[in-house]
Amino acid sequence: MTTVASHALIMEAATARPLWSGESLTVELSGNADMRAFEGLKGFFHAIHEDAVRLGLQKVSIDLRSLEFMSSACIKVFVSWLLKIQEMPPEAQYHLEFLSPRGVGWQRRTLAALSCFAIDLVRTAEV
Amino acid sequence: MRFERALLASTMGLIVLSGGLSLSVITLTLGADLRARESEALGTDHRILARFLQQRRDLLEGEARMLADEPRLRAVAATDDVTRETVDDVLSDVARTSGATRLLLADSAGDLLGVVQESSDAPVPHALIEQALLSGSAHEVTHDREPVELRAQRIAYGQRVVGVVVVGRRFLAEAVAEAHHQTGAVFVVEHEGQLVAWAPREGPRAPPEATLLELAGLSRPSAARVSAGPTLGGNAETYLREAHALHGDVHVVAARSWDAARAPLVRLVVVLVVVSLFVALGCALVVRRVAHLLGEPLGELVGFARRIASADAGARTLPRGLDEVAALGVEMNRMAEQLESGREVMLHTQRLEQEMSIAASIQTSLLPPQPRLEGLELAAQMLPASEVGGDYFDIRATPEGGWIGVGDVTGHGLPAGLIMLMTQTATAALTTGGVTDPREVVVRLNALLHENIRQRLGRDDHVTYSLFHYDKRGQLAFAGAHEPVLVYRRAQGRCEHIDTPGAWLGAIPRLERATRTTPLSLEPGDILLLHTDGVTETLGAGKERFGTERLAQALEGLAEASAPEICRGILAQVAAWGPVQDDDRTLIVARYLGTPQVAGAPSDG
Repeated sequence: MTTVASHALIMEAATARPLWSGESLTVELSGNADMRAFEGLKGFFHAIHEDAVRLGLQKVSIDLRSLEFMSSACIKVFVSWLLKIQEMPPEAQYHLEFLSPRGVGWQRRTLAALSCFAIDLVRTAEV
Repeated sequence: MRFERALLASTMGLIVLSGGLSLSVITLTLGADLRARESEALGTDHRILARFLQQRRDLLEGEARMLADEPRLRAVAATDDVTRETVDDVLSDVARTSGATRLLLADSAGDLLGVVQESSDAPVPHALIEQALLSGSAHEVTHDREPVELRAQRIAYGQRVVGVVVVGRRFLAEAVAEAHHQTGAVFVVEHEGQLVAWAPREGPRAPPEATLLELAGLSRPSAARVSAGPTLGGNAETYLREAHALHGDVHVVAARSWDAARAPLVRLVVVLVVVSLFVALGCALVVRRVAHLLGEPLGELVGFARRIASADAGARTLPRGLDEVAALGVEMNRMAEQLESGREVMLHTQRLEQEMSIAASIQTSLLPPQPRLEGLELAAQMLPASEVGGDYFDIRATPEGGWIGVGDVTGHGLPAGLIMLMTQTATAALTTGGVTDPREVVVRLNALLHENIRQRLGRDDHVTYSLFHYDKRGQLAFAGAHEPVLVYRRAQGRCEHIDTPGAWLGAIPRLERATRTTPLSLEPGDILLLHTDGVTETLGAGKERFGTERLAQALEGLAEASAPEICRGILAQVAAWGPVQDDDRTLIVARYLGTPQVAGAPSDG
């Protein structure tokens, strides 16, 4: 299979949507990812990880530009995802590229802390 | 009473009741009908007897006419000088020829010429003779032990009357016997308390004399009723009878055996009773089978209900029996499952509530009661959410100043409370022994938390955490990533936002590379404000969060107030912004008062 198996996750206040171009996978997050979104996002990003491994991707982009808020519980999903990638053999690891808007302090601080866990695997870009 | 027994008893009761009622109705209806028919038959019996009697009277009348034409009798009657012997010879000869019971001959004056009869003391029927002389013929019944029918006929030659011949016959017994032969009824004829004729006289159905007397003695004209007869052949027999006046004071009773008449009805009732008994037996077997099919599964369901009632929530029944009962068992199993599920939910809820209580107790009991650090005006407050949010803060004094820690565990409930407890105790342990570099503490604390959270608890939580080392001289140094620090600079009257770089604790084992110490200087009057995300992420009515900027404005607005007033004031603004609190809210306000005066040392100013 050469496409992603993940499906868009539409919750009460937040949405997570996989965008597959045929070569690259971008996950677009939008809305308010509060505590209620935790379980949904946990399953969603697990499926994204499975897709990335299956497709042998070098990178998955996470577009946070439409994301207004993310609770610490949901941020934990990113931490777990990152640690899961770290546990993979080096040759199978892929990068996470976070796209965030300029001037949004909580995203900047969150991504900075996240980068500390795996400087080589996390890239952040303010666009 | 057990269901099976109750069902059997009630069903059998109904069957017996309905069977008894049916038999009673059948017996009464058919009995009344039979009685009516028998009564009608008795009337017919009388009419048949009357017809037979009339036939014989007609014959007697013909015989009388024939004798009136008999030449010798005519000659004897017409001859004046005939001798008595001649008359007797002629009469005897004619009587022998005809077989009559009585034969009389009278002349034209009504005087008796001669007579032939069984009994010599029988009276001469002068009135009958006179009537025959006048009207040509006459009829009369006389009694000589038994009724004797007399018929008188005038003897004449043309217009000349010469005499009267009277012929008598006994034919009542014969008529009664013939009527019995034809109808089968019992006939009894009574005259002045004596039985004068009856039938049958022989055979198995011939009533004994006592019965005949009773039937005759009770007779009344036009009366018809059942009388209990005497013993007949060892058995009491009941008759239905009807009495008619025959003539004069002679009464004839026609009687029919009621027992014989209703024998078919009795046989029918017996057959019906036997059939009903078989039906009842069949019903009893069917009812017992049905009761068994119903009763046993129902009994199991009752036992099942008792087990559930006695808190055996895991109890289940095997649905069986009739469809409806099996369906009831299925529904009861479903109910038990829901009950069990409800109990589990209730227990789970109770456990959670207990956990919440423990976690809240852990969280609040370890907070510094009255935090004091030399040179700082301090105020700190934590408002736990209903579900413990895992907020942490601690303030510990040291000879050179002290430590201020603030953090938040990503998670809720008892696990978050436990991790918060670990953070608190580990921080307390690691900040002793002259350590002054917060980075060193954070790195060691992270290793400890990683081991405990990931390896021992098997959880994926982490802790946002910043640790501040305070020096009495207003110098702060901090390490660890948490919420941004707000510092109100009194000189500028504005808040400064200071990020807390680094990584969260507990996620990876080593944080040496990611952790660094950041210095921070406070001037007298400056206010350090530390908070957790429960403050800035409070959601307002317009779905907008309180945010760091609004927090800074609140601090700026309250900067001249005391530290406790600032703390209370900001928390009040947050509460007004978002009344619904779904996370812990922690606030630490520390106003630097300047280098404290050391005893014996010169003052700064």
